[in-house]
Amino acid sequence: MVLRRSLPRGVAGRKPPGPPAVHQNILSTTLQNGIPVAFATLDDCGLVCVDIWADAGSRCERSQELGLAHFLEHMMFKGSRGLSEGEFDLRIEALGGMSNAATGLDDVHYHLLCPAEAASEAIGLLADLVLHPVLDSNAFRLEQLVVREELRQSCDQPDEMACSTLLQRACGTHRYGQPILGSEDSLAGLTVATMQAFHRRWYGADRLAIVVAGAVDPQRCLGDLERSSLGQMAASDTPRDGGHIRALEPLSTVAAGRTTLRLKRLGCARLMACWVMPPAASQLCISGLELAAALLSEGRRSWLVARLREELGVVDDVDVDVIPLEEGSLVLLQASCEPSQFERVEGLLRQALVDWLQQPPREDDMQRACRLIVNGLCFGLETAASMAMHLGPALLRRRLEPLEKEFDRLCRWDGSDFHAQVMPLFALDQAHWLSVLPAANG
Amino acid sequence: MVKLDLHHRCRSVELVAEQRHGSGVLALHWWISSGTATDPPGQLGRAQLLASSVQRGAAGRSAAALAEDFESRGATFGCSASEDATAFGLRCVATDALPLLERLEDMVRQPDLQHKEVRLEQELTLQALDQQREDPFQLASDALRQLLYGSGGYGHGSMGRRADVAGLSPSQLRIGHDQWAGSPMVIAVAGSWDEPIATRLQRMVDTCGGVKGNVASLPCRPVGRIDRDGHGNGMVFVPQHTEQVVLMLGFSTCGLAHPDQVVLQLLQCHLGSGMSARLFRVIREERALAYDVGAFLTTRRQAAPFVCHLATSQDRALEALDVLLAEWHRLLDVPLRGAELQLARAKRMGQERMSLQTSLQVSEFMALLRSHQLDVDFHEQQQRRLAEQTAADCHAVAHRWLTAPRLAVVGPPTLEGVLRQRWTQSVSRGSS
Repeated sequence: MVLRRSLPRGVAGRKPPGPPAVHQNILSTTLQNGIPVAFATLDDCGLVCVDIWADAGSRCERSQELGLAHFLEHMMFKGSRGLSEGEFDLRIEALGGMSNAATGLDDVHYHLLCPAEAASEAIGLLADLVLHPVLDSNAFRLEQLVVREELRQSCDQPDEMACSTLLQRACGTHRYGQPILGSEDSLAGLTVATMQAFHRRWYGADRLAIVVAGAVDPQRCLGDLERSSLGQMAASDTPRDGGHIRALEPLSTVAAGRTTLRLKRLGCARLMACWVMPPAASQLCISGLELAAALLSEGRRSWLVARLREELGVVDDVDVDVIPLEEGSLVLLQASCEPSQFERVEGLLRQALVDWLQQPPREDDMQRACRLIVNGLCFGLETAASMAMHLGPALLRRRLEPLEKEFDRLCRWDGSDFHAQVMPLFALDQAHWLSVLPAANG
Repeated sequence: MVKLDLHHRCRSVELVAEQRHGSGVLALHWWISSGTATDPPGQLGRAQLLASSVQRGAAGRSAAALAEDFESRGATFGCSASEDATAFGLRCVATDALPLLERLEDMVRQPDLQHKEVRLEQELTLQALDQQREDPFQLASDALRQLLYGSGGYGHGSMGRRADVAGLSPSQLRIGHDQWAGSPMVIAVAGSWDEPIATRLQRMVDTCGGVKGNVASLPCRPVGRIDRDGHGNGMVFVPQHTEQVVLMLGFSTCGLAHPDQVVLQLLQCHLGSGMSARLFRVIREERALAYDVGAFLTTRRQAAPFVCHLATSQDRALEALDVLLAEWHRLLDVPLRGAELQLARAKRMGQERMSLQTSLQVSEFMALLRSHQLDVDFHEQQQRRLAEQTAADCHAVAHRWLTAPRLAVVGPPTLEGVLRQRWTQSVSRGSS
């Protein structure tokens, strides 16, 4: 076993002064069966976060399996080879811990946070839960109803409805356009057998990664992991890039254009846009996109917020988000406003974007954006759970690197390169624009 | 757990600071004991509008210049009002702190409150109020608050009432701001700080404590009438054409410093904390009635709301109400078993550890404790109290605080009759 040690020390370079020192030690290694593991040591926190990541998000679903990745995540908590239904929650919470899981377009992860002294036991429990689910048919039928309630709950939240509609219209038939929760019809069509097959297909040792963050003793923890179901797991017969492993299906463009969605019970209108960007593996480009998002909407001095909210007061909120994804990243823009102001806001926002694209950002704006991102990241990394959340996707894709390298990449962009390489990606006619307006009777 | 490395006081303004070596981050909460509960009738929303407006210009610096000061240093900053306080929060790199503390003091002591800037915040607040009404949980929460607290200080949300907000003027905000000078304040700091920062903080305390009108002690401010009797039969139905029905069952209980608070926290953990919680097991795992189900107990100076909530499909709303009410009856009728009490204790202790991970969390917690005149070693005291509570204590506290439920429902109007009928039957049983 070789532990590689990286000690981030903060940003060097042209952004004086640097961000807060990042005092976490990050070690990375692999289990004997090849599963990558990262340990992030946070001083004095007294807690440990164990986070198991699987390359098994909703993009892994076949056409008849819509909603399956997320439904399986629910079913994981309904009992396993060594744990009866409810036993995992009971034991973790009796240790003073808590657990949860989340399914994304690319990945799914299962995490728990517990007192450091309980970490060994918790690792064994979480490993068994994720690798050996029972998938009982009665529990399956009952949980199907719970997921249906989750789906219905999302229907009562206009932001969720608007966002899933935007993705569907922008991404068309690509898997990123399909809702992670599925639909009531697709849920009804799922079976225990398809779920078992999905678990076998996507939860192999070659598609997992583990982050342990907090008051962790890496050597001892590594032993715990090797002895757990994770360490016992055979490496997959199939190489990562062949056989049953689904090939990437690049998403290169969105269905550009403008459409409208009318929703009942809408208090504020929304103007939304979605751009397709290079995939998450293009790390330099992703850092440029993050800079762009910060320049446009992070803080009151950002381009769009300063103009539309602070000066004119026509939008309540305006936000630009980058979602790094394996088959093509997405950038989402959303501005909310009073419905009667919608047309004016649309004109002002589009013009503000056109103006922004005209010339390179000013140096002080670049510096502010860079500092907001780096400091925000460092502030967030004070907790074990957010550290694990940050490291997980990179570890899973074998792209883990020292945090300082990530910071350096952000600060490496200068105005003219940024203008030439990143800003053209935000061309207005390359996006799908969605107007979300109140229904006539709503 | 929290430790006190610096303490300074001038009349009712207090500084508490914890040194967390090596983080390089400084977090600060400036807690002013004047919150939305002190909004005058007809001006509901004044405290929050004041909190947002003070960020838009102070001591002659414009809103844009203030924002530039913070954002160019990568600092996060905000000010908002809750029921019991108005609080400024700051998180920055420790080496950037000195100039930012100065800006903070300007905002607390000399906000410009110019008409144009207040008008802008007013418009933004009105938009935010409209957007808030999209969320059925928010509607249920607002309705429940009305039921529990009526026109008392806790009876309205922090952003206030639409008509009141629209009518607020800079001069009314200025009256609200004048009250800050006479209010107890706590400046709580956690993270990396050095001697110059400590000196600056102490000077801020002396300046604020020395102003005319600042009182010599830390009195509790009245929060207005707390309507523990409620209205009608204690149920309100908010008709909305939603997919689901939201049910919120709430009680008005006691404040953070009350001895029963620790037991109420145990009862909250038992009912609604985590996936082993009673409501989660019975309502979601056994019956699949809801995806989102839980219970929460909000921290307040007095009369804290204790709330159980769920959202379910229309065709299962009656069944869900029956189960929710049965669980309430069970809590009153059946003392917690030993294992249940032990589990609730473990959860509560775990929650306390998890709530103090970041410098920002620590500074906020210290500000909260001192504003309630509680010691900073409250956690340690609390852990001892948690270990001492028995099932009989829990039962007694449930009977003391959880016998007068109020119900807020949000859902399609066709369901009102049947749910109201069931509620009336159940409450008459509970009070018999």
